[in-house]
Amino acid sequence: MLKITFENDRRTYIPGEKIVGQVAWDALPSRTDALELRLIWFTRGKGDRDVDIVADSKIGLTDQDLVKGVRPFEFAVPNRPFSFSGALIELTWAVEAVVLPDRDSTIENIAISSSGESIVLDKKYEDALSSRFVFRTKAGK
Amino acid sequence: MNKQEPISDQANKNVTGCARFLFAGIGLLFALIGFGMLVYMAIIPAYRKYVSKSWPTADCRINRAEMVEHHGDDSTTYSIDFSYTFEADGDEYSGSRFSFVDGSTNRAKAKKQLKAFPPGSVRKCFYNPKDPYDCVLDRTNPDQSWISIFVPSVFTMVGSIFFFVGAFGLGMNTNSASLRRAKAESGSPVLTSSFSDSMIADIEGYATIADEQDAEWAAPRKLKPVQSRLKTFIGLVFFGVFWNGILSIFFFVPEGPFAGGGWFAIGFSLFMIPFLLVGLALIVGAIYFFVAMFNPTVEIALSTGAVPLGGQFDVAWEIGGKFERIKNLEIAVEAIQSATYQRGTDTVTDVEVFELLPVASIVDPTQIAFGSTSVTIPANTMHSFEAPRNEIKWKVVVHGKIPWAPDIIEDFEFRVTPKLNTSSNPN
Repeated sequence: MLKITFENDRRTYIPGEKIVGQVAWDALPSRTDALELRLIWFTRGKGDRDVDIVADSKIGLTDQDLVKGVRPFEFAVPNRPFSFSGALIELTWAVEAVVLPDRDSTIENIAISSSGESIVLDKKYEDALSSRFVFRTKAGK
Repeated sequence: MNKQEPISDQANKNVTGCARFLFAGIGLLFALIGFGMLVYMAIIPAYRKYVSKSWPTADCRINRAEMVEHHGDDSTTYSIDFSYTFEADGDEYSGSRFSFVDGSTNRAKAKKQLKAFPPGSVRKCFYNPKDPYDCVLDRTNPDQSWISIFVPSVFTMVGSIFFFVGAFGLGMNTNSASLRRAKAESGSPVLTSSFSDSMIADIEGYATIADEQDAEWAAPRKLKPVQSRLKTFIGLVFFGVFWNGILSIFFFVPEGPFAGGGWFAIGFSLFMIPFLLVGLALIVGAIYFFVAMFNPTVEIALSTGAVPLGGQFDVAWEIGGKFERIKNLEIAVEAIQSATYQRGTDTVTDVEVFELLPVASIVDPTQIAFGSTSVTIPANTMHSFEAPRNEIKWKVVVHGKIPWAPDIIEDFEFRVTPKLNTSSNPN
C-alpha cells in the first residue's frame, strides 16, 4: 500500500504556495531500495504526452521501514505552467510516489494556477484569421 | 498502489534523439547510395556520351567477341567480351569497351551486339583524341535502362526525405528537447526543507529559462513574422528544383519508359501522375510566394513583448510599400492550442484557436498605413506554453485582402506570461 495525502485534503494551489502532505506505505516488497516522490506535470488530450518531473526526491528505506512508514513532504509551487483544460490539450499537475526498483506507483492530481483552479479553454473561433489559410496556419505552427 | 508504469517515466517512451539520429543516418545512407548509383549509372555515362560527340572515329578490327554468361541467384545475364584494335595518328591502339555503360544485359541484346560486331569484322569506333585508349564501339549507351535512373532516383528521394525529417525534426521531437523545454516551462521549483536528511532533493538544473525569456521580452518590441516570405519562396524553389529535376530525367532519357509506347508506357504514365502533381504544386506554390514577396510589408510592434495574463498592451502596425493595394486589413490577437501526435507513420498537428481579440478591421485606405490600439489579455486564460508536442501560442495575426494577388496573412508571436499572485498564502 502506498498513499499520498495532502494537508487539509487540499488539491488546488497558486504559485508561491507550498504543497504540504505526506506519503504513507506498508508492506513494501523486500527488494525495495527506495521510494521516490516526484512533483510532475503531464499533458493529456489529442497530442502525444509531454511529461516533466519538476522536482524529485528519494527516500532511502531500511528493512524496518519496509513494513510501515510515513514521511511528510513539502514542495514550493512552481510559477508555471498553469493547469488547464482545452479542446486539444489538458495539462495536469500531480505528486507521484514510485517504489524503486519495481516502479509501482501511485499518483494524486492537483491544480496549479493563479486562481487555484484549472483554467478551462472552451471557446472556439472558427472565423479566426489564422483559420482562413490552413497552409499558413500549419506551416506557422 | 498503481501497478502501471509511473506517468513520469513515460517521458522516456517518446521519440528519442537517438531514434531521430538513426532516422537521419539511415536516410543519409540511402540518399548517398542512391545518389552514388545515379552518378555512376546515369550521370557519368550521360556526360561521357555528351563529351564523346566530338571524338573522332576510326576503323576498328574486332579481334574477339565472345558471349559471357553471368549466373545470378535468380537469373543469368550476358555480356560480350570484346577486343579490338584501331589506328590513330599512325599508332595502333587496342580497346575492349563496348559502350560507356558497364554491366551485363539480357541474352537477346547480347546476341544483337554479337551479330552487329562479329569477330573479324571492321566497324567504326570512337576514341578520345587526348587518350585513344579511352574508346568505345557504341557511344549511344544502348544498354542504359531507365531503371538505372528510376531506382537510384527513388533511393535518393526517399533517403533525402528521411534525412530531412530526422535531422531537422519535421514533426518529430526528442526527449532531451522535451526535458529541456519542459524545464524551461517549469520555472524554479524548490523542494523545501521538510524532507529528512535521507531525502535527496534533485532540483539542480531546473533552469528558469522561461522566466528569463519573459524578462527578455518584457520591453517594447518589434515582432518578426513567424514565416518569412523569402524563406518560404526559397524553400519551395529548392525543393521544387530537386523534385522536378529528378522527375525530368525520365522524360529526357532516349530509352526511357515512355519511348516504347504501349501498355507499359501508359501504366507508367499513370503511376507518375501523383509525382507530377506534386511537382506542379511546387511550381504553383513557388510562383504564388514569388508574387506574394511583392505584397506590401507588415510591421508589428508591441509596447511589451511579454504581457501578463490580465495585462494591457499596445499593438502598433505599419504597412510598407503600396498599402493602397490592400482593400481590407484585419488585425487580431489570437491564442492557439497546438497538439502534435503520431497517426500511423504520419506526424499530425491539430490547431485550435481558443482566444480571439479583434485589434482592427479597416477598409479606409487612409487608415491602413499605420495605427495602434490597446488590447487586454483576459485574466482567466492560459499563458504561453511550449512543450515538444503540446503548445499554447499567442500571436498577432494580420490579414490583408488584395484583389488579384495573394492575400497578406502573417503571424507575429509574442509571449503571455503567468499572472503571479503577490498575495499568496503560504501554508
